[in-house]
Amino acid sequence: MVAVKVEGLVKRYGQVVAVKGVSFEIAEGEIFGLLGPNGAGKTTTVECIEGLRVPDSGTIQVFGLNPFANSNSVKELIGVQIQVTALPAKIRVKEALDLFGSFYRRCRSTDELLKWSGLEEMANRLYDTLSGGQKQRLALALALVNDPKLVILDEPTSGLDAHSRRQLHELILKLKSEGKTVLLTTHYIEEAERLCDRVAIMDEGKIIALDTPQNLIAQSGELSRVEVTTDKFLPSELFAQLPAVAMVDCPSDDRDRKTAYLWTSDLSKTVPELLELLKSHQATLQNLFVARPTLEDVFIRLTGRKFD
Amino acid sequence: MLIAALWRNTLVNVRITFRDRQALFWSVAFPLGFAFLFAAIFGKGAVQERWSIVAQMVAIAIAANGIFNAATPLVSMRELKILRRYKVTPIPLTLLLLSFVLSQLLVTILTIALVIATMAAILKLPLTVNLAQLAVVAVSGIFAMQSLGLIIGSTASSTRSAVPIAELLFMPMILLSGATIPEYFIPASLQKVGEFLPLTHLIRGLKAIVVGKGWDAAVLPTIALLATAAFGFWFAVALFRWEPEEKLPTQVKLKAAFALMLVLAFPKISDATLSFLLKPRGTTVIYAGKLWDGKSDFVREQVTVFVRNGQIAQIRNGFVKAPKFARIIEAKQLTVLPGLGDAHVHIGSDGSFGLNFQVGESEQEAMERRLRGYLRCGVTMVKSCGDNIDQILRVRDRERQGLLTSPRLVIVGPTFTAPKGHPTELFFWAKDISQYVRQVDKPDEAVAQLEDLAKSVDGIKAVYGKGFGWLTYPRMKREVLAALIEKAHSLGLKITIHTDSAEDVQTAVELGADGIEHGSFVDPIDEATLNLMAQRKTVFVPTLSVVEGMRKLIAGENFDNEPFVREVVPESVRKSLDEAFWVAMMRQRAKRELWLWEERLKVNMENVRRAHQIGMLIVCGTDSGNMVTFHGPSVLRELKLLVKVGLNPVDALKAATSNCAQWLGLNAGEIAEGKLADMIAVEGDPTKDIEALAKLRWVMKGGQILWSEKATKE
Repeated sequence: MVAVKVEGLVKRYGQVVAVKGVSFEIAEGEIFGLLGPNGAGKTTTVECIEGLRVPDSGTIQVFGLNPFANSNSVKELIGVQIQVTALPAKIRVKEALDLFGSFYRRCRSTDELLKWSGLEEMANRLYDTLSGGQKQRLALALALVNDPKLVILDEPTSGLDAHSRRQLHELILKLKSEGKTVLLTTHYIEEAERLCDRVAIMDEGKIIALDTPQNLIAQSGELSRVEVTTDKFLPSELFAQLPAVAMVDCPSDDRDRKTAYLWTSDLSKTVPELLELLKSHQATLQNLFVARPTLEDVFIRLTGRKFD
Repeated sequence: MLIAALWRNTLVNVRITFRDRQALFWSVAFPLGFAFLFAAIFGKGAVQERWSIVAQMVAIAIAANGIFNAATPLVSMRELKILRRYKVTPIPLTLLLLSFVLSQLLVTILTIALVIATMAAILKLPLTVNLAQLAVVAVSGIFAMQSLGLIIGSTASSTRSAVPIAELLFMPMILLSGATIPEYFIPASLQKVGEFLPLTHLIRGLKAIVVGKGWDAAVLPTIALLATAAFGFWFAVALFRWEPEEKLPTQVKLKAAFALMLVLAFPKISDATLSFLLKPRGTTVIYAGKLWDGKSDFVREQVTVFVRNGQIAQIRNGFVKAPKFARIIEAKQLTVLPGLGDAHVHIGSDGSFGLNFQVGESEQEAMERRLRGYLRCGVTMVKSCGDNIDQILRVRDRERQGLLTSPRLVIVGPTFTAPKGHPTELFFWAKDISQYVRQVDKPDEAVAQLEDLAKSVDGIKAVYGKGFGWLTYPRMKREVLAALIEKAHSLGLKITIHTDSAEDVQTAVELGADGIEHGSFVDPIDEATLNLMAQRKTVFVPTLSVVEGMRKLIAGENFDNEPFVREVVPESVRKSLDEAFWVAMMRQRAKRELWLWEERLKVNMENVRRAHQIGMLIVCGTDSGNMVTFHGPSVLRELKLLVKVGLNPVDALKAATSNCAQWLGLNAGEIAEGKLADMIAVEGDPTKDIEALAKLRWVMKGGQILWSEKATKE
């Protein structure tokens, strides 16, 4: 079943067109990502779906319902973590969950949500004493008070440290295992790659690519990069002979740097042969780093710009 | 679910307020501090006055809490984008706003409870106030103020812009409502602005309750407040913005402007509606054991009086069966007679020297208090013989719309007199003396001023006299008086003349005056003049009471024991007459003159006796508002003096009923078919013993019982 269907969505702010005809569908049970740099129109798109903004044209359906005509029914079905969720400074964690729960017909118990989000020990803390990660986990828990079928997360890990981000990622994956549909926006490449079943890459108000992260990368024809460091300098011609290697960079003028950079279209063919090569030249492997192409590479390829 | 959400959000808001020290300071500590301050500064005076101060503080606390504390949380939630989080939930906007109102309601109730408790403790106030009624008015006020605050809260995009807007709303209210500055110091034009401010209504309502005016006086302000609350809330919902960037459609702005106009026009609209609603309807049946009709020389027994639409519809012998749905008043053990009248009063003063109002009330409220005092004494018609004309006209208009618990009110304009003539010496303090006195030296200027006044007043009064004893002043030129009398008559107005001596009376009567106020306290009015008065049916209002009052004051006699005085006259007024240092000085000085005052009283009583013998129309007037001549109780004093002069009680009563109504131009003063249903009931028979008037049981005006002993006991 289709959870969300967006067709030809356009939204203007005065003279600026923030979203220029965006269309996509989200299947029930998947984690769908909107990836793009700041200002790409991701937030505007999800805010239209949440009912926070009225689109200038296009149609939106959430579980077959129009979020403006059936605003309250849609609001009952979705859980929203808006970008930069703020709450009154002097509200307690438990109170916030109780309060927002009371706004819905169906609500999950506060204790359960506290446990789910790992905030049990924070239950009686005031909002302004929470850390950034704790605030985001609370925001996520708030998005779940009505046990929604669709959870919309707008930049859920923005500005968090690596540890907090990992905690949040685990929670989001837990959502999927609970059968929820998740729509998430992010400008973190690895977040999209790690969490999303499908990703729509947005730039300047348009979707420029939409597929599973693996397919996006594969289809982009990008090369994997291999960095190899040995105790002995080897000329670049040796590396160039390896199978599937398209390009080699071996800074020969610097005899102290014994690192070579290879680009290959097929790691599985290149790496075993590389190790054989080192052995045959009695060179000892000191470091080996392999980088597969990322969605960032896809973005750069599609737009000719760096992702920021 | 909705109720649960409302309740939970309300509770959370209250808790948040109590956790936020800054919010707590402004909502609770600040008003409490103010209360301490006011209690310390104004904590003197009678119980009612002290309660008035409490009412003022409560009103200020409600206004401050409502306007500032309803606005700021919403605005800061918008500014910090907290409101967006609410917007993505299904909670209805009205519910969200309502929860803010309710939470502030709870905080404010706590605050005012603390204010009242603190002030009551400091000021040692007995709990004489009906707290339930006070709560109704206060809660209405809280809702009204909250809704005004909400409008700001709904629209302002940042706290920085919200605070000045709130100040803009708050400051005029504090300054113009009479909350801090007495109405006396506020120009009339600005007072009109005050009429439109909800705080004015709140203070009026709260004061009505705390000074014991009763629920009736608080109804209109309460309705005005509730309407402000409803409109304001609607307004806030219509204008609400979730986010600072949101813009409002023009249609919404127009609707909002319309709503605001309705809110502002409300006092006027509600006045008109209420006077329509309060108009007496239906039939009232009175079973009178005895009935004196105001004209006859005898008393009828066992009579049924039918009252319909405020008028006497029918009078029948015996106790006739009442129609269905009629209201029945049993007065089978009582004597029913027409309501009394006082044809010479000054509503603007209390009967002491000092302020013309008590601390904690405005001048207008003081006037209304005195008018209620008249009703308490069985007086249903009075003639104001010189008061601040703008103020008294406002009061009169409210009375005629049926919005005031007051006797019927007839107004003569400011008193015409010679330059520096009487009573200019009494109004040296007035900002605009022409409100009280018109000093005219030439016939044409006198005529021009009279023409202008004729548009609003019911009659004209002029002073023609030179004073007596140590108080003398210039007398008006004869030709000026002649011109005034002629002009008044040509405009169809009655003109009455204040006189000091027999010579003054003679001139005034010869020139065609319709009435003589005071007569002469210094010499006998000559026979020819008296005959001319009888022939021309010139009315004589001797005001013996005011001289008796002076005599009592100088003699140091107790005046508290006159009937009604303790009930009607504020304690502070009575105290000031005994305690003021200058009263003691005057007594010292005037003890030598005591015989003179006794003599003056005797002289005029003799004038009255002769006038009565000739068959002149004598009308009861007291000159109340002068020292020791109090509004209401003095009518009985005057009637007793008339009886002392030699009038039988029936003739004395006529002076206060049918004669008075005729002189005032009112279709009252008699119990006869077609007359206005202004009646009183007393125990005993006042046509035999005038003192029976002190045993008043109820007072009816226009078919409505405005005071009754039973209601007081309940």
